[in-house]
Amino acid sequence: MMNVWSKIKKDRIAVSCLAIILMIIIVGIFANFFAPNDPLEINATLKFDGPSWEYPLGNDQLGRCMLSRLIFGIRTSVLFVLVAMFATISIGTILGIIAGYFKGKVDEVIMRVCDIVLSFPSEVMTLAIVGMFGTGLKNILLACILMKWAWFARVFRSAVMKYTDKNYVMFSKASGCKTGHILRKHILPAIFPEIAVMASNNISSQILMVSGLSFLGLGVQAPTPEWGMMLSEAKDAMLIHPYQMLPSGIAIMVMAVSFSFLGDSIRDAMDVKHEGYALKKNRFKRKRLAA
Amino acid sequence: MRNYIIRRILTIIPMFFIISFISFVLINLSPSDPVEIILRANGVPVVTEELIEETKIELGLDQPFLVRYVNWLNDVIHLDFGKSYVTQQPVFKMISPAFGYTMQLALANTVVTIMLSIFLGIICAQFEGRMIDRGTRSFLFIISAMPAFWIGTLAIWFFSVKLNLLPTSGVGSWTNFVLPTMVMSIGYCGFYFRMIRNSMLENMNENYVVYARSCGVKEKVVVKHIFRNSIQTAVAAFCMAIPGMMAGTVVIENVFAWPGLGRLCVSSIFNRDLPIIQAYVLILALSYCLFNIFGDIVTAVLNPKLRKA
Amino acid sequence: MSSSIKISNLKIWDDRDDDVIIKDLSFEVKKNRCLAIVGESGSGKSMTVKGITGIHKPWIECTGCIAFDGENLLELGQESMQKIRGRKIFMIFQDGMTAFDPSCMIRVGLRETLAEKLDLKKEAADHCMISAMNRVMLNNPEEILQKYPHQLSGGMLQRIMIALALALEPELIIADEPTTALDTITQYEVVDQFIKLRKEIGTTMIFISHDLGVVRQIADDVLVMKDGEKVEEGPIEEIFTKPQHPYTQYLVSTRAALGTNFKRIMEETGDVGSEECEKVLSTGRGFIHEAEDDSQGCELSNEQGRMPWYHWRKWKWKIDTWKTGSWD
Repeated sequence: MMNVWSKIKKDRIAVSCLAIILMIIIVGIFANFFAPNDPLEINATLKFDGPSWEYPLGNDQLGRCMLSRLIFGIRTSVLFVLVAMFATISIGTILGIIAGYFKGKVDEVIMRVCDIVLSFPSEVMTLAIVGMFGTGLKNILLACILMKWAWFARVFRSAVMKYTDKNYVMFSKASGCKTGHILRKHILPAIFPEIAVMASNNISSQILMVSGLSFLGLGVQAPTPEWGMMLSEAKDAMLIHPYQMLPSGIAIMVMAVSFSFLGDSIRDAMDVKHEGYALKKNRFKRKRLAA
Repeated sequence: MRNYIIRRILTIIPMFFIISFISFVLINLSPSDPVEIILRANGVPVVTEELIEETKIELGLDQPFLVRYVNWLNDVIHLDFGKSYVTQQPVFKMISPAFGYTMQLALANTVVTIMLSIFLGIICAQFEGRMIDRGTRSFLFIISAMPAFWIGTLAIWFFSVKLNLLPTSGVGSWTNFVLPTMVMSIGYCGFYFRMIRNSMLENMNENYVVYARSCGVKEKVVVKHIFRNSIQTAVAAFCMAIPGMMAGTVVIENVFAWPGLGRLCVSSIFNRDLPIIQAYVLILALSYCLFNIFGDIVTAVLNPKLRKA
Repeated sequence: MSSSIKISNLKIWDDRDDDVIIKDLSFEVKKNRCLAIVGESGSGKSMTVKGITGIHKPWIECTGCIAFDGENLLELGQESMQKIRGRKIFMIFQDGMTAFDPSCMIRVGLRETLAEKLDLKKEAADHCMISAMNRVMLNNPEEILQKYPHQLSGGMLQRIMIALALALEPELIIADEPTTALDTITQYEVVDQFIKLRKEIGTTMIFISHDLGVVRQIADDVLVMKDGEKVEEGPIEEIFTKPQHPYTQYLVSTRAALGTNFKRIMEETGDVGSEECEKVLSTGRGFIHEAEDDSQGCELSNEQGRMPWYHWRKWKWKIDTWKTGSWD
């Protein structure tokens, strides 16, 4: 665990990704403070205006400040996804630990349910849930949680199983430690890196999915700012003002790329096996020097 | 082997019941009353209690839950998915052309993705650690983190609006396939190509490769063996890719105005046209399940160790 | 046909971290002689032969001179090396189980090799292999050719490799620990095949092993290696009877001690004279790694009454653990 952290600290890409993510989250939380204008204020005279000092990224089709909408959009596009991801991970971890640690009947039941949930493609089920319960961010996030927990539970179960057979866990069991204590002190820290990898890789796909559904108009409803929906609005004005598509698109990309790079770095830091790969120049040709 | 295939195919039956049950339950969990949706969609000006009751009996919605499920299941087996609330047309009639279009797009995507990722996977494995490998990997990594609808719109703007080379949307000739296929497959490629590359690298370090080399077999033949063994893991994933792509086309279909299932489903969601959503979920979940089994069987056929079991 | 091979000032290092694996190695194998290279794991035995055939990883670099058949192998390009490998220099590996493509029948790989090396068509290649496999005492060769590697035992696959050597009639055979992964009885049979192979096609051979018993049966000369350097070299009897270097003395004496230990246990359990016991002793169960000190002997005698297999497995396990750690 500490080892993973110290390796990540040395990885420049991982550190910069983490910095970007933290920065965006902070800006999103304190959006009121950072946003230069009211994101909902309509100003017909400034329609599709280019960047200016007052409106650094220009204005959209209703003359609203793009930058402010982008900043307020962090809340819907990133923060809510993070909250949903946190809920998913909690459910997945708890069920995974229960299944992996106690095994037997409980394990059997949880895994059967997981099998059923996993036999539905998540994109389709998300659409189905949104279709049944109506459009809105709340339903999309609910669908994400419902479809993803099984996946987490399954991965964490096998991770937990790997560690319950380790000597130190056996020792704690044998020396009469309470189950709760073993789970908290030994199992949870041991599977933490795996949680981190899964989470950061999933967040990026989740951000893409939520913004994609908002792009279709199934998510956040106007006029609440959201990156996917901003893109969809910009698309309508594509022919005359193609510039409109850039800010929100880049914002989504930066977020998704940062999270996937971070996940990759954590995985690399955990994985000793691939350390030798591409370490130095790999000469493919058999290069032999005469004496 | 035969037993394995038969057993695997027989699992479809319980899966079908679970899938159909869940799709049916979802509809009934919907907070909005279907009768009201139908009446409003048909432009009935005043919706009275009486009218609702009448329509309910007419549609058989007053019967108990299980009876309705069995009736519905019976209809579904006869390919009758009910009538659309909005257009009053049979759902099957609306879905089948859309299914065809989606299938075309998904297949084109699968073919392109498979070819592209095998090609790139081999190249990158051969030149592991070199510029070409690192460049391709980071490029595809970033591409796959970009939202498909954004790349899609940018591609439309560049290729159709700016250069005026390709049609912006719709179906028709092969040129309509170019943009959606390109945008989708490049995103999927990032995943599959990494898988092929990594399993090729793993196989390159296997003993049999060293042995074949030490026997003086041509490098071409050695690479063939490496490829043969690494493709096994990828084949199962490719089989899963087809239903995945059918489901994944939703956004792309809307960007490129492709008259497929995804677009139909999204417009049905706006209209609250529940039978279509239900049919969509049922069809995609079922094909997901079928391709899953197909993938398992193909893996078993390719892997001699599994073949005997 | 056979040729001699002369290696001078061979230096092998890892280009990634400049870790020198072989420092400065020179030796010669004369025509029709068999040189055994002995030494513990990590002493650079395998790396040396990989350097000779050029099948090492791309980041490994070699300098020096490997004179074989009038050419310096280190100066040859990949193309001409590929022609030499198989036809002139043939390698036999430690683990038969992983040496064949797991997703193809055995005959696929063999056909490819024979087609490349002897220009044989499919049927001719099968025919050639069948007669070679008969010579190494493999029953039902036609059936074996249609099996997948996982359906055959390690010993059978090892013998298939020997049969391939018989078919190709190479000038130099390099066997890289060919008996290590096998159980005792199979080992006995495979060693037997090696002795036959030498008699039949009369080739030069480099035999790598850390099993002194096997080496004693098969080799004419011995080269002892330690930490990538040559420790001692000489004819087999000399090395075994009057070793000069302390390391060699140590190796030979531990083997002798172990042999004695084993005999003692066998006597105690009354297994002496039984078939298993004889085979165990004749293949020389005395691995270099065992019997570091006397405690091993005690351990063994505590477990008397079990079949020799038990002890063998125990040793095998120890070798595996030692292989991963450092031995010294």
